[in-house]
Amino acid sequence: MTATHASQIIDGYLKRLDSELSSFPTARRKELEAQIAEHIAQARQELPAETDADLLTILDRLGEPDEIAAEARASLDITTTTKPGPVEIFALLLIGVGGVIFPILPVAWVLGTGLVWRSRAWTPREKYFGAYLPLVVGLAILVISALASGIFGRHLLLEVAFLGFVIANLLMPLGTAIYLAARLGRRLPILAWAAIAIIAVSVFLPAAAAFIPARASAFIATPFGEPGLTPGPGGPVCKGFYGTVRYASGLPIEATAPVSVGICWDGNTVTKSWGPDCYPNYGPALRVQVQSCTVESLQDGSMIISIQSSATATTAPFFGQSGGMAWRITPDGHITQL
Amino acid sequence: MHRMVRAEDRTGLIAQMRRGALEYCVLALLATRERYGFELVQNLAEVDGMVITEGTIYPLLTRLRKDGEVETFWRESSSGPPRRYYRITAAGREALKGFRSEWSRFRSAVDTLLESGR
Repeated sequence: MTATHASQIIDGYLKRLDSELSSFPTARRKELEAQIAEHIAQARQELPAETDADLLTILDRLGEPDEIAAEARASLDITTTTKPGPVEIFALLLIGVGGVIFPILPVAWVLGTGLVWRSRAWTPREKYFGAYLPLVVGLAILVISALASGIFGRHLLLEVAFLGFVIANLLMPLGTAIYLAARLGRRLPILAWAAIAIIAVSVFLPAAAAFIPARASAFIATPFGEPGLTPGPGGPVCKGFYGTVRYASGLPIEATAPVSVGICWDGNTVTKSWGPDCYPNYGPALRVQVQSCTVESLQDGSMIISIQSSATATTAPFFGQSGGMAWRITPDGHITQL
Repeated sequence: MHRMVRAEDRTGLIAQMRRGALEYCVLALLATRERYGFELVQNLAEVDGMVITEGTIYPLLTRLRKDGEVETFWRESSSGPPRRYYRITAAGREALKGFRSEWSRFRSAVDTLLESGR
Protein backbone atom coordinates (compact mmCIF):
# COMPACT_ATOMS: atom_id res chain seq x y z
CA MET A 1 0.00 0.00 0.00
CA THR A 2 1.12 3.53 -0.61
CA ALA A 3 2.46 5.82 2.07
CA THR A 4 -0.13 8.46 1.21
CA HIS A 5 -2.97 6.06 1.78
CA ALA A 6 -1.59 5.05 5.18
CA SER A 7 -1.15 8.64 6.27
CA GLN A 8 -4.69 9.40 5.10
CA ILE A 9 -6.10 6.67 7.31
CA ILE A 10 -4.07 7.80 10.31
CA ASP A 11 -4.79 11.48 9.74
CA GLY A 12 -8.49 10.71 9.57
CA TYR A 13 -8.31 8.87 12.88
CA LEU A 14 -6.31 11.64 14.59
CA LYS A 15 -8.71 14.27 13.23
CA ARG A 16 -11.67 12.42 14.69
CA LEU A 17 -9.82 12.16 17.99
CA ASP A 18 -9.06 15.87 17.88
CA SER A 19 -12.72 16.76 17.41
CA GLU A 20 -13.75 14.39 20.22
CA LEU A 21 -11.26 16.12 22.52
CA SER A 22 -12.21 19.65 21.46
CA SER A 23 -13.82 20.44 24.83
CA PHE A 24 -10.66 19.38 26.72
CA PRO A 25 -8.11 21.79 28.16
CA THR A 26 -5.45 22.40 25.50
CA ALA A 27 -2.59 20.81 27.45
CA ARG A 28 -4.57 17.62 28.09
CA ARG A 29 -5.72 17.43 24.48
CA LYS A 30 -2.22 17.92 23.05
CA GLU A 31 -0.67 15.39 25.42
CA LEU A 32 -3.24 12.72 24.62
CA GLU A 33 -3.01 13.34 20.88
CA ALA A 34 0.78 13.10 21.02
CA GLN A 35 0.60 9.85 23.00
CA ILE A 36 -1.81 8.29 20.53
CA ALA A 37 0.20 9.44 17.52
CA GLU A 38 3.37 8.01 19.10
CA HIS A 39 1.56 4.75 19.80
CA ILE A 40 0.56 4.45 16.15
CA ALA A 41 4.09 5.27 14.98
CA GLN A 42 5.63 2.75 17.37
CA ALA A 43 3.12 0.07 16.40
CA ARG A 44 3.86 0.65 12.71
CA GLN A 45 7.59 0.29 13.30
CA GLU A 46 7.09 -3.23 14.57
CA LEU A 47 5.20 -4.38 11.49
CA PRO A 48 7.32 -6.45 9.08
CA ALA A 49 5.36 -5.32 6.04
CA GLU A 50 2.58 -2.84 6.45
CA THR A 51 -0.78 -3.56 4.89
CA ASP A 52 -4.08 -1.71 5.09
CA ALA A 53 -5.40 -4.49 7.30
CA ASP A 54 -2.46 -4.13 9.71
CA LEU A 55 -3.02 -0.44 10.01
CA LEU A 56 -6.74 -0.86 10.60
CA THR A 57 -5.99 -3.46 13.26
CA ILE A 58 -3.74 -1.00 15.09
CA LEU A 59 -6.50 1.63 15.05
CA ASP A 60 -9.16 -0.92 15.92
CA ARG A 61 -7.19 -2.03 18.99
CA LEU A 62 -6.70 1.58 20.03
CA GLY A 63 -10.46 1.98 20.10
CA GLU A 64 -12.86 4.55 18.72
CA PRO A 65 -11.85 8.17 19.40
CA ASP A 66 -15.07 8.73 21.36
CA GLU A 67 -14.20 5.80 23.66
CA ILE A 68 -10.76 7.24 24.32
CA ALA A 69 -12.30 10.66 24.97
CA ALA A 70 -14.90 9.17 27.34
CA GLU A 71 -12.19 7.33 29.26
CA ALA A 72 -10.06 10.47 29.44
CA ARG A 73 -13.04 12.43 30.74
CA ALA A 74 -13.66 9.85 33.44
CA SER A 75 -10.10 9.25 34.57
CA LEU A 76 -8.80 12.81 34.21
CA ASP A 77 -11.87 14.23 35.92
CA ILE A 78 -12.50 16.68 33.12
CA THR A 79 -15.71 18.60 33.43
CA THR A 80 -17.81 18.02 30.41
CA THR A 81 -18.59 21.22 28.67
CA THR A 82 -21.42 21.63 26.23
CA LYS A 83 -21.29 23.16 22.80
CA PRO A 84 -21.57 26.94 23.00
CA GLY A 85 -24.68 28.56 21.58
CA PRO A 86 -26.50 31.90 21.48
CA VAL A 87 -26.27 32.33 25.27
CA GLU A 88 -22.47 32.17 25.16
CA ILE A 89 -22.33 34.55 22.20
CA PHE A 90 -24.60 37.00 24.02
CA ALA A 91 -22.48 36.70 27.18
CA LEU A 92 -19.29 37.47 25.22
CA LEU A 93 -20.90 40.50 23.57
CA LEU A 94 -22.34 41.81 26.84
CA ILE A 95 -18.96 41.57 28.57
CA GLY A 96 -16.83 42.65 25.63
CA VAL A 97 -18.72 45.58 24.21
CA GLY A 98 -21.05 46.48 27.10
CA GLY A 99 -18.45 48.73 28.69
CA VAL A 100 -18.11 50.74 25.50
CA ILE A 101 -21.84 51.26 25.04
CA PHE A 102 -22.46 52.10 28.69
CA PRO A 103 -19.24 52.82 30.56
CA ILE A 104 -20.67 54.48 33.69
CA LEU A 105 -21.65 51.34 35.56
CA PRO A 106 -20.47 47.83 34.65
CA VAL A 107 -24.06 46.59 34.26
CA ALA A 108 -23.43 44.64 31.07
CA TRP A 109 -20.30 43.10 32.54
CA VAL A 110 -22.21 41.85 35.58
CA LEU A 111 -25.09 40.54 33.42
CA GLY A 112 -22.70 38.84 31.02
CA THR A 113 -20.84 37.22 33.91
CA GLY A 114 -24.21 35.95 35.17
CA LEU A 115 -24.73 34.26 31.80
CA VAL A 116 -21.23 32.76 32.01
CA TRP A 117 -22.13 31.42 35.43
CA ARG A 118 -25.22 29.74 33.98
CA SER A 119 -23.37 28.43 30.92
CA ARG A 120 -21.91 24.95 30.72
CA ALA A 121 -19.62 25.74 27.81
CA TRP A 122 -16.76 26.83 30.07
CA THR A 123 -15.06 24.73 32.73
CA PRO A 124 -15.31 25.90 36.36
CA ARG A 125 -11.63 26.85 36.23
CA GLU A 126 -12.10 28.97 33.12
CA LYS A 127 -15.08 30.66 34.71
CA TYR A 128 -13.17 31.38 37.89
CA PHE A 129 -10.02 32.85 36.35
CA GLY A 130 -11.67 34.15 33.20
CA ALA A 131 -14.88 35.67 34.53
CA TYR A 132 -15.38 35.85 38.30
CA LEU A 133 -11.92 36.95 39.38
CA PRO A 134 -11.61 39.76 36.79
CA LEU A 135 -15.09 41.01 37.70
CA VAL A 136 -14.27 41.18 41.40
CA VAL A 137 -10.95 42.93 40.73
CA GLY A 138 -12.63 45.29 38.23
CA LEU A 139 -15.41 46.22 40.66
CA ALA A 140 -12.80 46.85 43.37
CA ILE A 141 -10.87 49.17 41.05
CA LEU A 142 -14.10 51.00 40.17
CA VAL A 143 -15.03 51.52 43.81
CA ILE A 144 -11.54 52.77 44.66
CA SER A 145 -11.57 55.07 41.61
CA ALA A 146 -14.99 56.42 42.55
CA LEU A 147 -13.83 57.08 46.10
CA ALA A 148 -10.63 58.70 44.87
CA SER A 149 -12.46 61.11 42.59
CA GLY A 150 -15.47 61.67 44.85
CA ILE A 151 -13.90 62.21 48.24
CA PHE A 152 -10.53 63.70 47.47
CA GLY A 153 -11.24 65.32 44.15
CA ARG A 154 -7.71 66.56 43.60
CA HIS A 155 -6.56 66.94 40.08
CA LEU A 156 -3.96 64.18 40.12
CA LEU A 157 -6.34 61.79 41.84
CA LEU A 158 -8.97 62.53 39.21
CA GLU A 159 -6.55 61.43 36.55
CA VAL A 160 -5.72 58.28 38.48
CA ALA A 161 -9.45 57.66 38.89
CA PHE A 162 -10.04 58.15 35.18
CA LEU A 163 -7.30 55.63 34.45
CA GLY A 164 -9.02 53.27 36.89
CA PHE A 165 -12.29 53.66 35.04
CA VAL A 166 -10.67 52.99 31.69
CA ILE A 167 -8.89 49.89 33.00
CA ALA A 168 -11.80 48.47 34.98
CA ASN A 169 -14.65 49.39 32.67
CA LEU A 170 -13.11 48.91 29.25
CA LEU A 171 -9.85 47.01 29.20
CA MET A 172 -10.64 44.37 31.81
CA PRO A 173 -14.04 43.29 30.44
CA LEU A 174 -12.58 43.34 26.94
CA GLY A 175 -9.68 41.14 28.02
CA THR A 176 -12.10 38.85 29.84
CA ALA A 177 -14.29 38.49 26.77
CA ILE A 178 -11.28 37.74 24.56
CA TYR A 179 -10.04 35.09 27.00
CA LEU A 180 -13.47 33.45 27.26
CA ALA A 181 -13.88 33.56 23.49
CA ALA A 182 -10.46 31.97 23.01
CA ARG A 183 -11.43 29.16 25.36
CA LEU A 184 -14.48 28.40 23.22
CA GLY A 185 -12.17 28.31 20.22
CA ARG A 186 -13.18 25.94 17.50
CA ARG A 187 -16.29 24.78 19.33
CA LEU A 188 -18.04 27.89 18.09
CA PRO A 189 -18.83 27.74 14.37
CA ILE A 190 -17.05 30.12 12.05
CA LEU A 191 -20.30 31.95 11.23
CA ALA A 192 -20.80 32.77 14.91
CA TRP A 193 -17.25 34.12 15.07
CA ALA A 194 -17.95 36.27 12.03
CA ALA A 195 -21.11 37.67 13.65
CA ILE A 196 -19.26 38.45 16.89
CA ALA A 197 -16.44 40.11 14.97
CA ILE A 198 -18.85 42.26 12.95
CA ILE A 199 -20.75 43.41 16.03
CA ALA A 200 -17.56 44.06 17.98
CA VAL A 201 -15.98 46.05 15.17
CA SER A 202 -19.12 48.08 14.56
CA VAL A 203 -19.25 49.02 18.23
CA PHE A 204 -15.54 49.59 18.81
CA LEU A 205 -14.67 51.35 15.59
CA PRO A 206 -16.88 54.43 16.18
CA ALA A 207 -15.72 54.59 19.79
CA ALA A 208 -12.10 54.47 18.66
CA ALA A 209 -12.81 56.98 15.89
CA ALA A 210 -13.98 59.46 18.51
CA PHE A 211 -10.38 59.61 19.76
CA ILE A 212 -8.88 60.62 16.42
CA PRO A 213 -8.09 64.34 16.65
CA ALA A 214 -10.34 66.50 14.52
CA ARG A 215 -8.76 68.31 11.59
CA ALA A 216 -9.83 71.52 9.95
CA SER A 217 -9.35 73.06 6.56
CA ALA A 218 -10.69 76.16 4.83
CA PHE A 219 -10.56 77.95 1.52
CA ILE A 220 -12.09 80.95 -0.20
CA ALA A 221 -13.82 80.51 -3.54
CA THR A 222 -16.49 81.98 -5.73
CA PRO A 223 -19.71 80.49 -4.48
CA PHE A 224 -21.92 78.61 -6.85
CA GLY A 225 -25.07 80.48 -7.79
CA GLU A 226 -24.82 83.20 -5.17
CA PRO A 227 -26.24 86.47 -6.55
CA GLY A 228 -24.82 89.94 -6.15
CA LEU A 229 -21.22 88.91 -5.87
CA THR A 230 -19.89 90.66 -8.93
CA PRO A 231 -19.00 94.15 -7.73
CA GLY A 232 -17.91 96.96 -9.99
CA PRO A 233 -14.26 97.90 -10.51
CA GLY A 234 -12.62 99.29 -7.37
CA GLY A 235 -15.40 97.92 -5.22
CA PRO A 236 -15.02 95.13 -2.63
CA VAL A 237 -14.30 91.54 -3.60
CA CYS A 238 -17.08 89.21 -2.53
CA LYS A 239 -16.58 85.46 -2.24
CA GLY A 240 -17.49 82.51 -0.09
CA PHE A 241 -15.52 81.18 2.87
CA TYR A 242 -15.70 77.40 3.20
CA GLY A 243 -14.34 75.78 6.33
CA THR A 244 -14.65 72.18 7.42
CA VAL A 245 -13.96 70.42 10.69
CA ARG A 246 -13.34 66.73 10.01
CA TYR A 247 -13.81 64.01 12.60
CA ALA A 248 -12.13 60.64 11.87
CA SER A 249 -10.57 62.48 8.99
CA GLY A 250 -9.67 60.40 5.97
CA LEU A 251 -11.49 57.26 7.15
CA PRO A 252 -14.60 55.94 5.40
CA ILE A 253 -16.57 56.77 8.54
CA GLU A 254 -15.57 60.45 8.43
CA ALA A 255 -18.12 62.98 9.66
CA THR A 256 -17.84 66.73 9.21
CA ALA A 257 -19.03 70.04 10.56
CA PRO A 258 -18.80 72.51 7.69
CA VAL A 259 -19.19 76.24 7.92
CA SER A 260 -19.75 78.65 5.05
CA VAL A 261 -19.90 82.44 5.16
CA GLY A 262 -20.26 84.98 2.40
CA ILE A 263 -17.54 87.59 2.84
CA CYS A 264 -16.50 90.82 1.11
CA TRP A 265 -13.21 92.63 1.57
CA ASP A 266 -11.79 95.85 0.22
CA GLY A 267 -8.34 96.01 1.81
CA ASN A 268 -9.57 97.84 4.94
CA THR A 269 -12.34 95.68 6.36
CA VAL A 270 -13.96 92.29 5.92
CA THR A 271 -17.73 92.25 6.00
CA LYS A 272 -20.29 89.48 5.96
CA SER A 273 -22.72 89.23 3.04
CA TRP A 274 -24.48 85.99 4.08
CA GLY A 275 -24.28 83.22 6.60
CA PRO A 276 -22.81 81.76 8.58
CA ASP A 277 -24.31 78.44 7.59
CA CYS A 278 -23.41 75.37 9.63
CA TYR A 279 -25.07 72.08 8.82
CA PRO A 280 -23.40 69.03 10.33
CA ASN A 281 -22.92 65.92 8.23
CA TYR A 282 -23.52 62.69 10.06
CA GLY A 283 -21.32 59.75 9.30
CA PRO A 284 -22.33 56.14 9.88
CA ALA A 285 -20.20 55.98 12.99
CA LEU A 286 -20.08 59.52 14.31
CA ARG A 287 -22.89 61.90 15.09
CA VAL A 288 -21.88 65.54 14.73
CA GLN A 289 -23.60 68.43 16.43
CA VAL A 290 -22.93 72.14 16.07
CA GLN A 291 -23.21 74.08 19.30
CA SER A 292 -22.34 77.49 17.97
CA CYS A 293 -21.45 79.04 14.67
CA THR A 294 -20.47 82.70 14.79
CA VAL A 295 -18.90 85.56 12.88
CA GLU A 296 -17.19 88.42 14.67
CA SER A 297 -15.54 91.60 13.35
CA LEU A 298 -12.33 92.81 14.91
CA GLN A 299 -11.06 96.41 15.41
CA ASP A 300 -8.39 96.01 12.75
CA GLY A 301 -11.03 95.21 10.15
CA SER A 302 -10.42 91.46 10.03
CA MET A 303 -13.08 88.87 10.73
CA ILE A 304 -13.15 85.79 12.98
CA ILE A 305 -15.27 82.82 11.92
CA SER A 306 -15.67 80.20 14.62
CA ILE A 307 -17.53 76.96 14.99
CA GLN A 308 -18.01 74.90 18.10
CA SER A 309 -18.95 71.31 17.36
CA SER A 310 -18.85 67.84 18.84
CA ALA A 311 -18.79 64.30 17.52
CA THR A 312 -20.24 61.31 19.36
CA ALA A 313 -19.84 57.65 18.48
CA THR A 314 -23.23 56.36 17.30
CA THR A 315 -22.72 53.02 19.03
CA ALA A 316 -21.13 54.40 22.19
CA PRO A 317 -22.81 57.64 23.24
CA PHE A 318 -20.30 58.27 25.99
CA PHE A 319 -17.41 58.38 23.58
CA GLY A 320 -16.86 61.56 21.72
CA GLN A 321 -15.00 64.81 21.51
CA SER A 322 -15.88 68.40 21.15
CA GLY A 323 -13.80 71.26 19.98
CA GLY A 324 -13.80 74.80 18.75
CA MET A 325 -12.19 75.86 15.53
CA ALA A 326 -11.66 79.41 14.36
CA TRP A 327 -10.27 81.17 11.33
CA ARG A 328 -9.24 84.76 10.84
CA ILE A 329 -9.83 86.54 7.54
CA THR A 330 -7.57 89.54 7.05
CA PRO A 331 -8.78 92.59 5.08
CA ASP A 332 -6.68 91.48 2.10
CA GLY A 333 -8.68 88.22 1.85
CA HIS A 334 -6.27 85.74 3.44
CA ILE A 335 -7.16 82.96 5.88
CA THR A 336 -5.26 82.10 9.03
CA GLN A 337 -6.34 79.13 11.11
CA LEU A 338 -6.35 80.05 14.78
CA MET B 1 -36.45 -4.05 29.77
CA HIS B 2 -35.73 -4.47 33.43
CA ARG B 3 -33.29 -7.29 32.76
CA MET B 4 -31.47 -5.24 30.15
CA VAL B 5 -30.86 -2.43 32.60
CA ARG B 6 -29.47 -4.90 35.10
CA ALA B 7 -27.11 -6.34 32.50
CA GLU B 8 -25.83 -2.85 31.65
CA ASP B 9 -25.28 -2.15 35.31
CA ARG B 10 -23.14 -5.23 35.59
CA THR B 11 -20.93 -4.40 32.60
CA GLY B 12 -20.62 -0.88 33.96
CA LEU B 13 -19.48 -2.27 37.28
CA ILE B 14 -16.94 -4.57 35.65
CA ALA B 15 -15.65 -1.66 33.58
CA GLN B 16 -15.29 0.44 36.72
CA MET B 17 -13.50 -2.34 38.56
CA ARG B 18 -11.23 -2.85 35.60
CA ARG B 19 -10.47 0.85 35.41
CA GLY B 20 -9.75 0.97 39.12
CA ALA B 21 -7.45 -2.04 39.05
CA LEU B 22 -5.81 -1.11 35.74
CA GLU B 23 -3.86 1.78 37.16
CA TYR B 24 -2.20 -0.54 39.68
CA CYS B 25 -1.45 -3.04 36.93
CA VAL B 26 0.27 -0.20 35.08
CA LEU B 27 2.20 0.70 38.22
CA ALA B 28 3.13 -2.97 38.73
CA LEU B 29 4.48 -3.24 35.18
CA LEU B 30 6.44 -0.03 35.59
CA ALA B 31 7.77 -1.20 38.95
CA THR B 32 9.80 -3.90 37.19
CA ARG B 33 11.26 -1.49 34.63
CA GLU B 34 10.50 1.67 32.70
CA ARG B 35 8.59 1.22 29.45
CA TYR B 36 7.46 3.29 26.50
CA GLY B 37 3.79 3.71 25.66
CA PHE B 38 3.30 1.10 22.98
CA GLU B 39 5.39 -1.44 24.89
CA LEU B 40 3.37 -0.90 28.07
CA VAL B 41 0.09 -1.19 26.21
CA GLN B 42 1.22 -4.43 24.56
CA ASN B 43 2.29 -5.91 27.89
CA LEU B 44 -1.11 -5.11 29.35
CA ALA B 45 -2.97 -6.41 26.29
CA GLU B 46 -1.13 -9.73 26.52
CA VAL B 47 -3.15 -10.48 29.66
CA ASP B 48 -6.65 -11.49 28.60
CA GLY B 49 -9.53 -9.36 29.84
CA MET B 50 -7.46 -6.46 31.14
CA VAL B 51 -7.58 -4.01 28.26
CA ILE B 52 -10.37 -3.68 25.76
CA THR B 53 -9.41 -0.49 24.01
CA GLU B 54 -5.69 0.21 24.08
CA GLY B 55 -6.12 3.95 23.58
CA THR B 56 -7.75 4.29 26.99
CA ILE B 57 -4.42 3.50 28.70
CA TYR B 58 -3.05 6.91 27.78
CA PRO B 59 -5.51 9.06 29.75
CA LEU B 60 -4.72 6.79 32.69
CA LEU B 61 -0.97 7.37 32.26
CA THR B 62 -1.62 11.10 32.16
CA ARG B 63 -3.57 10.92 35.39
CA LEU B 64 -0.85 8.92 37.09
CA ARG B 65 1.68 11.49 35.93
CA LYS B 66 -0.48 14.33 37.25
CA ASP B 67 -0.82 12.51 40.57
CA GLY B 68 2.97 12.14 40.74
CA GLU B 69 2.93 8.34 40.71
CA VAL B 70 4.55 8.10 37.30
CA GLU B 71 7.02 10.35 35.51
CA THR B 72 7.89 10.59 31.85
CA PHE B 73 11.16 11.12 30.04
CA TRP B 74 12.43 10.86 26.49
CA ARG B 75 14.89 8.27 25.32
CA GLU B 76 16.45 7.84 21.91
CA SER B 77 15.39 4.83 19.94
CA SER B 78 17.64 2.73 17.72
CA SER B 79 14.88 2.69 15.12
CA GLY B 80 12.88 5.85 14.61
CA PRO B 81 12.20 8.97 16.67
CA PRO B 82 12.78 9.34 20.44
CA ARG B 83 10.26 7.58 22.67
CA ARG B 84 8.31 8.85 25.65
CA TYR B 85 9.12 6.50 28.52
CA TYR B 86 7.15 6.09 31.72
CA ARG B 87 8.84 5.44 35.06
CA ILE B 88 7.30 4.76 38.48
CA THR B 89 8.04 7.26 41.27
CA ALA B 90 8.47 6.70 45.01
CA ALA B 91 4.86 7.83 45.49
CA GLY B 92 3.78 5.34 42.83
CA ARG B 93 5.61 2.50 44.60
CA GLU B 94 3.94 3.52 47.84
CA ALA B 95 0.49 3.47 46.19
CA LEU B 96 1.21 0.10 44.60
CA LYS B 97 2.30 -1.35 47.95
CA GLY B 98 -0.90 -0.13 49.58
CA PHE B 99 -3.06 -1.57 46.82
CA ARG B 100 -1.27 -4.93 46.87
CA SER B 101 -2.13 -5.62 50.50
CA GLU B 102 -5.68 -4.25 50.20
CA TRP B 103 -6.26 -6.22 47.03
CA SER B 104 -5.24 -9.58 48.44
CA ARG B 105 -7.54 -9.07 51.43
CA PHE B 106 -10.39 -7.96 49.15
CA ARG B 107 -9.83 -10.81 46.70
CA SER B 108 -9.83 -13.51 49.37
CA ALA B 109 -12.88 -11.97 51.05
CA VAL B 110 -14.83 -11.93 47.78
CA ASP B 111 -13.61 -15.42 46.88
CA THR B 112 -14.65 -16.81 50.26
CA LEU B 113 -18.15 -15.35 49.98
CA LEU B 114 -18.64 -16.32 46.34
CA GLU B 115 -17.51 -19.90 46.99
CA SER B 116 -19.80 -20.26 50.02
CA GLY B 117 -22.80 -19.43 47.87
CA ARG B 118 -22.19 -22.22 45.36
